[in-house]
Amino acid sequence: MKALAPDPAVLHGMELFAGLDAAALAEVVRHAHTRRLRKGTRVFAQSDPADTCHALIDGRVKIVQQGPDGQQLVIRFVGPGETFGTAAVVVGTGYPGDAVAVADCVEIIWSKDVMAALMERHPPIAMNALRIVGRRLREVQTRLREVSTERVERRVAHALLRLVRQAGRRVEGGGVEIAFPLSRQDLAEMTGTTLHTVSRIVSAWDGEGIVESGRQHLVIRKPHRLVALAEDLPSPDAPTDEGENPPPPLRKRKDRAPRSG
Amino acid sequence: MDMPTPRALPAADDMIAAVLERWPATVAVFLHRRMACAGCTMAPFMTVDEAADSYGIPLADLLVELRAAAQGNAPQGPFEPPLPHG
Repeated sequence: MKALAPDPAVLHGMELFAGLDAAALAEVVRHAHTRRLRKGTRVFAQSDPADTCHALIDGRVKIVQQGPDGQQLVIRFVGPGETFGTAAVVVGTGYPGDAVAVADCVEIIWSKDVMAALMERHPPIAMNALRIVGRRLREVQTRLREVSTERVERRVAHALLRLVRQAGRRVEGGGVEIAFPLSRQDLAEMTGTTLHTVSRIVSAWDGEGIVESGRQHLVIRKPHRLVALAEDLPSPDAPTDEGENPPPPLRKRKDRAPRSG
Repeated sequence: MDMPTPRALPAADDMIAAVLERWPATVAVFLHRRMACAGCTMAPFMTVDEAADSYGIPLADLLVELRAAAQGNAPQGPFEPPLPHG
């Protein structure tokens, strides 16, 4: 882990600092330091006093929470431009989980006191943080609903769609890969189920050609089928009696009334 | 009608999300065709060709409709819900 000279350009596109002018960005960077993390490095540990805020410049970090019985839950994956550890710093508790680099990373760090001072001097940072935390709360609420109401196969499909939104990359010949190392154990810990169950589901999807899965690598070969599984749309093989039971309309992010002209 | 230049209108190898972003009126074509493309997570990663294939729609027909919509002639609702995915 080697210290690097910070450059204001690293803040470009980071939501936490959106809306700051060049002078403010320079100040934010002046009080930070950056470091490289080798894959496998633990950035901070669950329950440690939260005294540093982190933002990822490059790479991928996994936040994992362990329960008293040793059961692990993947809270989320952090990608470039995203902050982590910030909410714990504001709340003033320990970190909610371990943060582990799952790829080689570059991160930028502020101490707790520095971040508090920056938020006071530049209120947009605090507003941005509130928006980020609010969105994460909604994600958690969605996952809570999924865990409470959906069968496991749909939960795994939803987890993959979330990963596609965050780290999807189109591959040659069609299909989408999750562009970082992802194990079946990770998927189990993201969906509150067992490795055995995830393996059974992913192997079945593999057999149907929906995905191609290696030990730490997953390519979605039939993106369309995965969406159908996540949204619980009937498959084309299922008997259709649409006149009686039309499939439910999808409520999608970008839905809007059709426009003419 | 003038011959369109290659990127002046939707093409078979354009990503669905790019088509929807550049020609928002094409959303009506996808709804009319009962395709669940609008707002789909996979839309940035699938081409018009692949989407047509997934729904068993002839690519040429879909392209004609998308290009018409991009030029101001979009289908009118109401639209049926999306079809099963293939």
